[in-house]
Amino acid sequence: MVISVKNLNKKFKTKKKEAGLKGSLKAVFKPKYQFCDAVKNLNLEIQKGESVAFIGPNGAGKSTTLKMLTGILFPSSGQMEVLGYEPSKERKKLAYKIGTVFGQKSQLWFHLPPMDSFELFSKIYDLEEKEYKKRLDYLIKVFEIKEFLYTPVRKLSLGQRMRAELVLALLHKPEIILLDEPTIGLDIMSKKALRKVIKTLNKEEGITLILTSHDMDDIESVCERVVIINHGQVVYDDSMSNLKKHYLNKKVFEIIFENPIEKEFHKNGVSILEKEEFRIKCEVDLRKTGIKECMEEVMKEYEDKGIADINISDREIEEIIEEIYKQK
Amino acid sequence: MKLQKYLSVFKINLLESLTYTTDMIFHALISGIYVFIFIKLWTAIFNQNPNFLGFTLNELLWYYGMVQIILLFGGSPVKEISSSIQKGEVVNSLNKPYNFILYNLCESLGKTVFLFLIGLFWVSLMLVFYVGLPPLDFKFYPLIFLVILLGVLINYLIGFSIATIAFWVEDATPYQWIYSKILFIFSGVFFPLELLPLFLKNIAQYLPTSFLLYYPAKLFVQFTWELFWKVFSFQIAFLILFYGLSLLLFSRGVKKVSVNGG
Repeated sequence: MVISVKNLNKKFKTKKKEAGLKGSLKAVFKPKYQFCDAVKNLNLEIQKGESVAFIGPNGAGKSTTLKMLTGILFPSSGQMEVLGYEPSKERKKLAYKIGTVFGQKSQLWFHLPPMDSFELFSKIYDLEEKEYKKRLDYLIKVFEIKEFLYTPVRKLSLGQRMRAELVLALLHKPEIILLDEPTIGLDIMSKKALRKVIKTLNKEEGITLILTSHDMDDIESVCERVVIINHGQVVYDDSMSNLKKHYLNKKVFEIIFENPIEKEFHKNGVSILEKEEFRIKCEVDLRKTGIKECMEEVMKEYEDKGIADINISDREIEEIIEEIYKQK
Repeated sequence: MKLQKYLSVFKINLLESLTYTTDMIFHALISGIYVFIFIKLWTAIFNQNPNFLGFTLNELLWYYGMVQIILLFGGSPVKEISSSIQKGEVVNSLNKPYNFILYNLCESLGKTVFLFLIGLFWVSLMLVFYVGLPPLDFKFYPLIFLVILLGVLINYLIGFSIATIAFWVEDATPYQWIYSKILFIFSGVFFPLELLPLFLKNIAQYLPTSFLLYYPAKLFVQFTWELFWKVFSFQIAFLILFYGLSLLLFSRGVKKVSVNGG
């Protein structure tokens, strides 16, 4: 087991302030605080080489948990062991074995090429020159970053930057990699490319992977296990295939037409959620029909109406959580 | 401690600072303007009294020039560390295998060393032109550099201790503002401490703030071995004291880190 978490709690204390000048003055002389349970009695065990998705709505406690696992945040109570270390007491020792990417906080030097940041990290992690060169060559190949190794980071696209961020996080051959929203803001092609390499590294190097993302496609294509967190607690912990079978079995499509539509659309496994003069929104039960087959029939049905826009999406994580609570 | 690690931090920050060369040249030029104004001011004063405060004109102007040069090196990390704690960027530093204090110190030195060198060249050039060469023999220069460096380190550590306040309160910059005002009076930044009233001078000469600018600059213009050993030993004591304080505050403060969200 590489990660073991027992009854973990994290309370945040925040100052409460009323709006306006009066509120500000009051807060100075008589400050009021409120406590928020970011993580509540969380239990978790992760085995070596697992690829685990950590998902949940905003403010669920995902990032807070990851930061506690790396030793950045101190838990209010509970026990944690990561690779045999206690993160809050042995943060520096653990740092040699963990790689992190916090999608919204870059680790690269903005005005310098990625190569300079790689050089620095090789020294920070005390890598031998030969070992570093070998590792870098391998990662350059896997992440296909050769073409922009010497381009200042500020001139890179978001996708290129994120690939460089990952190389940086993997340079010291970590045993665990924590990726917090690594695909945020990326276009579909960059997301696909990134998922592919993350998956490859997880398989080839046996790196234990923990990923948080709001993108269900990220999770589906990279992770084999899913842990859903809500209000700081684990509400679901099962395999990806089971999540797919039980909760990711529906997709929603929305079509906007150029001309008004009158006819209803009927098909087994399809239920209409909303219908307006120029717009139709339906939910497809993937156990009864495929999305491709369904779309073909819709096109046929309304072929004379002209299609202005189509949008196909997964169910929102909040809906899945709601359903999990209902079933409980 | 692996020195190479921290030298690399120094190097990468120096490299990044070189992308702002024009800014730095202008910054150094402005220091030159201050020196120019003071050259005119002190020249007028010395025309009335040729041995003011126990300094000659050449000594006093080189004192002031040296203070301006030292001010360009290192600086206080309060704004940067405080903002990194506030914005949560500190997470990327806390999960790395290095000493946070030394890392930020090397960052601060690396970012300003080029500015320091430009300032040194430009201010020295002006002073040589207006008042001639400095009074000190070249063989003492390494000792002057040593006390300057120790002063820069103490200033950094005081700043670091102030920055750690951000772990408890939302913003540490008001505390830095108070500290900067103390520096105005007790560091010799505008005038040597000899100009202070006697009771203030007696207090100021033992305060850590005097060892950042006043004593290194005074040694440069009125070097005596006795003064050197006094300054050096006090600087070492303050260095140990503020490093200890920084470590203590950081180890307590880091437990208070609260970074919400991604």
